[in-house]
Amino acid sequence: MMTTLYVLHWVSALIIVIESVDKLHQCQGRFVDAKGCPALVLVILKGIAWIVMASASAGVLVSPFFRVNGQQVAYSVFVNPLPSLGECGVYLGFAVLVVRSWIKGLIAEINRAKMHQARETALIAEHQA
Amino acid sequence: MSAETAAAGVALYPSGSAAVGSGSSIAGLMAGAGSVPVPVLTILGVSLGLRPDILFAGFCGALVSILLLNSVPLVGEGVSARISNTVQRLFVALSSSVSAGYLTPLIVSIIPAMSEPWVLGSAFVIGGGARVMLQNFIKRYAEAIYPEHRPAVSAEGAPK
Repeated sequence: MMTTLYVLHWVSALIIVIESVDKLHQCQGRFVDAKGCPALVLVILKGIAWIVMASASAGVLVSPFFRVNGQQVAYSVFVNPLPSLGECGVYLGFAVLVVRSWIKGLIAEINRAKMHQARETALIAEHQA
Repeated sequence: MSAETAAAGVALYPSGSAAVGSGSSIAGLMAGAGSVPVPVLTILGVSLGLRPDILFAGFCGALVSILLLNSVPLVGEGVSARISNTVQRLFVALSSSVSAGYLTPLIVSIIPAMSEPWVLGSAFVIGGGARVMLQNFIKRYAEAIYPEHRPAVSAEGAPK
């Protein structure tokens, strides 16, 4: 049980770090393009949120490797390397949401490719007619 | 290297709780302030000497450089380009924090009187600038050390 929790926690944290660096890059473009105070505030809040999530998740990623005299320890911002069920659940739920958004993006990309293909086929048929 | 610098360099990597901190300098703080042992990154029983606080500062610096300075720009289009860019960004963030973790003790050994905010700030800057600054720094000094590898310069002064 503990090993499962441990692995799930670590994998969820990895997924969240991957997503957060991507989101931070998106925030960069919006930060440059932001016009006016409300838009800027929205971008800054989003950036802060993803930085907090990325740093906490990176803490989860490295925490199994921090040891004192061969013993695992919890250290400052880094979480307990042996997570509770609730802690693991929060990370896992968020990671599932992230994976859902990836699948959603992939489906949109496939649909876009299909539309593009159909449009090209129609154009060729029209040209031949 | 002076005796004081050498002492600070030794205190950076305490062996267990044997090392004792010295005053308010970062060497003392890094030594675990006397009795409290500070964890270091250990992989397969090998201590890598990376401090968590410095790693964290470097990682935050990398994130901020991705957020504000566009340190890893998007190249190409499509799903595969986005995936490769994301992986690149992840590794830039992780390797920037490792750079900060290994280079900041070097700065502390050069300037032993640095206080903790200075050390964490320099770790943040190293983490943020690792992608661009470090590359340029290494290129510049490599050219200074190995002039035969310097790019050829034409009569107008511009590189060919």
